[in-house]
Amino acid sequence: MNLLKLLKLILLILVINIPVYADYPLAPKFQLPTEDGVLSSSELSGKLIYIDFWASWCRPCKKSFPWMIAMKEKFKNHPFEIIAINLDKDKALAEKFIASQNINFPVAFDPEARVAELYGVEGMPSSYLIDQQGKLRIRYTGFWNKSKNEKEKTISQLLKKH
Amino acid sequence: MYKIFLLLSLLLLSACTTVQPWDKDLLAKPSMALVPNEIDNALDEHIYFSKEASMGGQGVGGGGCGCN
Amino acid sequence: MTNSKKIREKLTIASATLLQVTNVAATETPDDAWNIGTAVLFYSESDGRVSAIEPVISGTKEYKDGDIINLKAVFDSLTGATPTGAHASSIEQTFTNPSGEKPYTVAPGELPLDDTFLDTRVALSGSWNTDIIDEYSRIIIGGNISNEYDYSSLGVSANFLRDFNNRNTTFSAALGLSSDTIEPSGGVPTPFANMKVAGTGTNRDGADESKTISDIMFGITQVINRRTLMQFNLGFSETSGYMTDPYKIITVIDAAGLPTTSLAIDDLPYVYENRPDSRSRQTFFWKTVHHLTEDVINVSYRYHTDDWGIDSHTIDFHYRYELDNGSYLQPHLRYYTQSAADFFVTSLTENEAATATVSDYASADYRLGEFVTNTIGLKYAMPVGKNSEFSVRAEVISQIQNDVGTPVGDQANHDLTPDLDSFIVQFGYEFYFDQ
Repeated sequence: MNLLKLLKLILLILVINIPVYADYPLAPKFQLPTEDGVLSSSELSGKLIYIDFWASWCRPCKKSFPWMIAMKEKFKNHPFEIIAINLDKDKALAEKFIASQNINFPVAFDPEARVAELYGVEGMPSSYLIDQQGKLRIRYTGFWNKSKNEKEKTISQLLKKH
Repeated sequence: MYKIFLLLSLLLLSACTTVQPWDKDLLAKPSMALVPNEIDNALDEHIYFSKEASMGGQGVGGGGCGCN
Repeated sequence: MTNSKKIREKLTIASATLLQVTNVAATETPDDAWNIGTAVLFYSESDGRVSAIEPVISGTKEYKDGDIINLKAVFDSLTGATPTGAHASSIEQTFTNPSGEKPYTVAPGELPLDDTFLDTRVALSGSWNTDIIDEYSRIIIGGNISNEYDYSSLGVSANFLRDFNNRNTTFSAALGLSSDTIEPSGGVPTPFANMKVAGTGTNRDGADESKTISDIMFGITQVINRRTLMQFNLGFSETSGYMTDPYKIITVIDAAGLPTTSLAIDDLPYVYENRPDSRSRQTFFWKTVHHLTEDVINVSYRYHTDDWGIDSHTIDFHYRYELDNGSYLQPHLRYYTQSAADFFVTSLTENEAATATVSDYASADYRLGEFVTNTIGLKYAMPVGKNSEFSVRAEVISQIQNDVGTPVGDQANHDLTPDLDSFIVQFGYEFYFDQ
């Protein structure tokens, strides 16, 4: 690991939420089961994608759903997709939560956390913004009320750029 | 006694595996809190403090799912 | 179906019938609501000693910005009698109440207890838990205040916690400061002065005394594996000020082991105790929480040592046995052992009492003695409707005092350090209150 990457890592650890990738690596591809089929990352190419790794036992994960639902609604006329990837080991617990929300985006199931590991998930929840070229732009670890507006702005900006 | 604390802390930190965030499902349960019944705990501490010559020790700790 | 699953099911059915559990669906705990915990504890000691009723109410609210506020109130209503420090004797004994006006007598062979002690205490506490620094740190600021007719306490604390290692490790550092004031009924007694016959004055003339307690504690919490969490704490505490119990006395014995009769006019054969005005304590604490297939073990060990010569070990064990419908049974075992304070005595000789000065220390308070306390208890909790829980627990606490020193004469006929049994029953109800 070169010095620049090391410094950026230290900065990441010490400072509030600087989750920017140094050189926009390609987002790992995946294929996961959904409630009623299969979701393949290749289906989403050309769009701005927000991937959220969550679990039913994680309180901030559940708290982020109303915001995600609102974002999907707000940007529904834009090429913007949200994918919630569930990491529950017991699918029934996840389904109970899903039933209690009016989710307007696909939920995929990754009980063995294979895709989570591919994406280098370090905390729960973890969300990733992938741009229209399929490159990883930002990683958010945790869900914070105070950063909702900033995230919305970033989504807006990335949609405009294209 | 401080040496024991330091030794145990180092042993502890070196002996454990890093648990991945998605494997913290059990640790997130309320039953896995360091003090799952705070009221019981406080009442007990008060009883024993009134009847014995020692007190405290528990402090505040981390754990749980480590979400956010 | 395995045997353990069969047992679990049988117990679930049994307890459900007994307490009429309604079916529970574990629903989402509401945001923006107060989590209220209430409980009432009934405490009762054997042999006509202390009884207490303690209602508690505690409210916690989590705010959208991540702050958590807690407010708690505890009321204590105590009745009954407490040992004075004087020991049983083969003769009838007469004492004077703290105000110096009323005498009370104790039959031969009985442990002298003072029942003029009636106490109601109110304690309020609050804490603010915030992540104002950054997402890996938390600060908890706490305050507490308590008051009873002769005692008041004011305390503040600050706790700093920081997560490391993908939140698998947490370091904590805490500071606490407390100031207590005592205004004893009848006044502050003169150390080693004699208790006086009722109506002849008191040897109690100080108005009030105070003490300050400072605490510092360092801790590590570490996730060991998916099922195990451990915590280590190291605590240091310094107390400075008045720590003597202004109501406790010590029997002065003659060569025959009976309360002495060579006394000044109006003096009784008991002198007021005296404790040092400083105390340094250190504690080492280790806790492990482990999740089995369905159940959870919570076990801790605490070692305490101080410069009063008191060393203690505490092992505390809870086993949460999950039943099928969200309810559980939780047996509890606690083992405690302590060594006596250096200045713990069961009595003083005439010479010792006569030559003692303010720089000498002696106390016959059983709480500073050498003893083992065993506790066994059981708790049952069950969910009620949405997001509420009812619980009941009962515990038996048995304190077994060891003999200290060699009995003189008549003292051999009596238990100078009697055991104590107590029993507690607690009912609890926890729910969410939507504003």
